[in-house]
Amino acid sequence: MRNVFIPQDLQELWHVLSENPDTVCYAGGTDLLVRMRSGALDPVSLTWLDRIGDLKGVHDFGEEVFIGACTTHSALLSDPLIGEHFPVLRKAVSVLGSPQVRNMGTIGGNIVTASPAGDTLPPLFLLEAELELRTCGSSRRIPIDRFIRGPGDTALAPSEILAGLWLKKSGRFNIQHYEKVGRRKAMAVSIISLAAMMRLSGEGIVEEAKFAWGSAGPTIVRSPEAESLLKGSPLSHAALEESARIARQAVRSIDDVRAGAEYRRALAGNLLFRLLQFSPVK
Amino acid sequence: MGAAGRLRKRILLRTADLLMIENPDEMILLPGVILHVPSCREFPIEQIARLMNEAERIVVHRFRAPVSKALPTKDEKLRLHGIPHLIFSYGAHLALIEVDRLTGEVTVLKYLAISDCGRVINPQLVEQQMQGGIAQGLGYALHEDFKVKEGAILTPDLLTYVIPGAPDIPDMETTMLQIPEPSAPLGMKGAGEIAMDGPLPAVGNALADACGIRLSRSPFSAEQVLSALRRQRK
Repeated sequence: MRNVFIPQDLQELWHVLSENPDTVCYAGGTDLLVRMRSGALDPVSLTWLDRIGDLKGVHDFGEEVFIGACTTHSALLSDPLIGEHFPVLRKAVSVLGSPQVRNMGTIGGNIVTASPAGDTLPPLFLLEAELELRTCGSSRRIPIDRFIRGPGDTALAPSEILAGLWLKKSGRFNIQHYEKVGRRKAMAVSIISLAAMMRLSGEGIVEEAKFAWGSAGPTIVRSPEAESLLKGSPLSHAALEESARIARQAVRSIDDVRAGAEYRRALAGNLLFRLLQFSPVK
Repeated sequence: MGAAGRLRKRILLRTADLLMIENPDEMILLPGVILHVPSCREFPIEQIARLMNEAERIVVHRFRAPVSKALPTKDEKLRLHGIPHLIFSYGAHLALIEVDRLTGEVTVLKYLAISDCGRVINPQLVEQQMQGGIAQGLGYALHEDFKVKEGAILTPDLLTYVIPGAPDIPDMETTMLQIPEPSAPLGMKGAGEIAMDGPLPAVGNALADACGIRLSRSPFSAEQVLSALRRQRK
């Protein structure tokens, strides 16, 4: 037997957390409940954040958009703000888990689980998401690449919760792409994933490029060198060839039961060639 | 089949005796009733059953599928488990696949399976068996990989031992070829297992046809396909 607390608002939540410092917070439970079932975790009590309205929804603040941590992936998929301003995030969410997992799982959960294979993480790194962490009396913002320190390891302090994230609208990137490679088409942990945002001129010249790889190291992998190499050159096979070579060196891939390190390295480069589909010059 | 035939005969004889009908062949069995065709009269089967004692109501029949008469080996040290059977089902499978040259992923777009099923009693059940067999066979061809390292199982659960899900399975077209099996009752034979034998060779041959690579170890994972494509380019 273990208690499950269901606070109805933040006030109640702070009360629960101060009375039960060892309680474990969760939203959709798609990661936590699986780990509990396998015996990896055995919390004394659980606190379900689902009923707290302040932690849900997508809100427009002009230059920035706030996404509540307990917003489900399905809610993000149907939100017009996400579709309009953050297509790269929308594409990643559309291939996350399965419809059932997307209905239950939340963006905040995907972040705090901090899995190298988390599908929202590569886009959120590119979008330079700032996370809002709150305690009873305080609130701080931290960039996502400083929040996630390693697999399952975050900068979340005890008694602190992830309330949501702030994203700057990414309209200047007219090309936004996400692809994951898994061992089947749904319910697959990615072998590798690539998020890409580019600003392409009408003539097909790359004015700006940003790439992030998932499942390619302990945390999300970036490669400023692969990005800057493309800058100013046409989006062509030859130009991507060099970036791909550098990308393959940048990833710190491992051998595991899903795939070998060498395959992951090859994919890290190969997936860049998918961007050729966006070139206006054929 | 044999038991049902004999019980039917017994029921009709009993009814004929009871109703003083001269020829039992003038009657047919319908759901719940016995119909005397010349007079169009019906008798509830329940009434006849009540008149029969338990021994009369039970019929036992044995049928043994034919087996090979020739011994597969004369070696007395080899113990045989059963005797090789003689009846085989046949099938022809066709897979349309797409290979992603950047990732090595194989997507099955369309699938056709034809099974030689003997006489079919319930076509819906046979189609379900065929579709299930194809899905499982595609898992065998493309996904399922039981990995062991130094005696320890590396794929102990369905997270690591990957089976195909609904999006991995293409539209399937199935055709039943009803060639009656002469040695079996009503010409029937097994049709359940044959469907899962086809997908692995069909996908393997499709891969060879599409990109000229011959893989000899299943599953044809994206990783294996990409490495074969790279070797081919060298």
